[in-house]
Amino acid sequence: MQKRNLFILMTVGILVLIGIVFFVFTRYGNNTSQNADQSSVPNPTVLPSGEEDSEQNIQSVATKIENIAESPVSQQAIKEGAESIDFKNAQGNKILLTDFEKATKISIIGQLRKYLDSKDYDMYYCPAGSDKKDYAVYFGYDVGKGYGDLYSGTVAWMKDWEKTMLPDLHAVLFPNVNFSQSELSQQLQFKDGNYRYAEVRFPDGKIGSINYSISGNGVIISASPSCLDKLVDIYDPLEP
Amino acid sequence: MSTKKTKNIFILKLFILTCLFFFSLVVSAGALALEIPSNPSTLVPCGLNGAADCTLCHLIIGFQNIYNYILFYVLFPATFLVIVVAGVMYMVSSGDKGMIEKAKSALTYALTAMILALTAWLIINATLSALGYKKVDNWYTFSCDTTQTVAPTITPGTGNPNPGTGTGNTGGTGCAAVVNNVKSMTGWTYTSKKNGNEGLRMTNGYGDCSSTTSRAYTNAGCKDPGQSTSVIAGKAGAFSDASSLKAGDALVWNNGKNGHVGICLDDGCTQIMGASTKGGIRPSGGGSQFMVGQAARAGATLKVIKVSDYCPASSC
Repeated sequence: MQKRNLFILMTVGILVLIGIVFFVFTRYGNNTSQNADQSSVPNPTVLPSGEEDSEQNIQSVATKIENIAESPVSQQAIKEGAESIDFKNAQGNKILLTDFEKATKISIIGQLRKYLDSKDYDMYYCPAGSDKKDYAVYFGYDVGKGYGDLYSGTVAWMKDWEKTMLPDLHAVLFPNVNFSQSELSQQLQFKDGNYRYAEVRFPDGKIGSINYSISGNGVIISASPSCLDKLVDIYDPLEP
Repeated sequence: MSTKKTKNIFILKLFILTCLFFFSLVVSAGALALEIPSNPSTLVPCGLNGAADCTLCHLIIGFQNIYNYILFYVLFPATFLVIVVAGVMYMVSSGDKGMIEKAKSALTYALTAMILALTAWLIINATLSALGYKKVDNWYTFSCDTTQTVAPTITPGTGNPNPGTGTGNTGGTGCAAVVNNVKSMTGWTYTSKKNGNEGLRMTNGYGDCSSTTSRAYTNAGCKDPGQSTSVIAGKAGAFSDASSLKAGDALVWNNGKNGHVGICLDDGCTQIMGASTKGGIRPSGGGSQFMVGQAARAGATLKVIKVSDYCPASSC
């Protein structure tokens, strides 16, 4: 009889505990639901700290580039001659250049990097026949930091960068090519033409190129001159 | 003796299940921090009432919301209800062995179901830890992009899809007003004559380099330098050096085929108003040096429209 009473007391105690736990979690659940109602699209993936957001953004950029590299050329790219790859976070805002750099493991020469806008960058691909793609990147100035000699400064910095442009940017200009360390160390000989350009030797023995142009708004670097033509037309359109 | 043994085993089972229950709650506490929609109609957060269009990411978010909803709004209340009913049955059984057995079974099944649901985290955490993953406290979070993946159109002529709200006419007159007017065009959509948008390029919210230059001047009560680079270049004088440039002067070149023009935003022309298909009308960081380089590459001579020659002298 005593054991039975003990058992009933234990059961009631457990019920009370479960009730308290349930009450606490229900209240918590309501609070989070109210927060979710305030935004039109509840998103359970939003994390509180900027660092974690940055990690998500880095992963998002890397995944997007991987997907683009593996997907066929889009009809839009065929029609327009180039297609930009949008790097936006879960809130629809442009992912910061720092996260883009971390995700792609690219390195931008320090003197130029100081004058770049944190969000004004773009990556493009242009159709290059038989489902191949030529890639290009654009880094825009932070106009507020502009000064009289920014253009001539950029010309000089880009020439400095020519020495390491392949190892620094191969991940975005040639995402499908697996360069070895020695191949990345090849000495590029940049020349003047329509644009500054240099030939690049690929692991399979084929020859490609790096081409760049300094725009009024920043710099455009491409894996082909034809793709650079398209981007120059976008960033520095000319008129009759 | 046998009844006593059965009771002891039951109490032991109950104790173990209760311990597991609370341990599972602690382990799954991280997962409980997720947002749980309380209204079933918001479980799939897209496609309705002005919400974003559905993407593959919303499908995953929907699955997670449904799981969380079932766990917190169905499983918890149902378990609680069954436990209460079982307890009541126990208390009113008055020694009825059949009723006591039913109450025991109900209690055991309810707690077992709850523990199974909650120990899912425990099992996965333990498995990941055993496999050597060091960070196993956030495996239930995921990252995916809910925005539409269709890239913005970059057809030359369509430009910035969100035209700026400036009117291109700040109300003043004279040299300073030229600069203010063109600055107020920041964010306008790039639309050029070359793309057959002759009418649109002269409409507020749209423009190309020559149409914005022309309107910045005329809206400031100054003479119109022209509405194409060829016309403006035909009227412009020789460019000597950047130090002589004043805010409001326009640099222009045309090689007989193409050209470009931009209004200097400051004395010395470190910044110039530019235009791009992607970014629309906006200040350009390259300043006069960019125009010098661009003209040289195009085989053209860079020229200048002096704002003081086009606006009332008293205003400059």
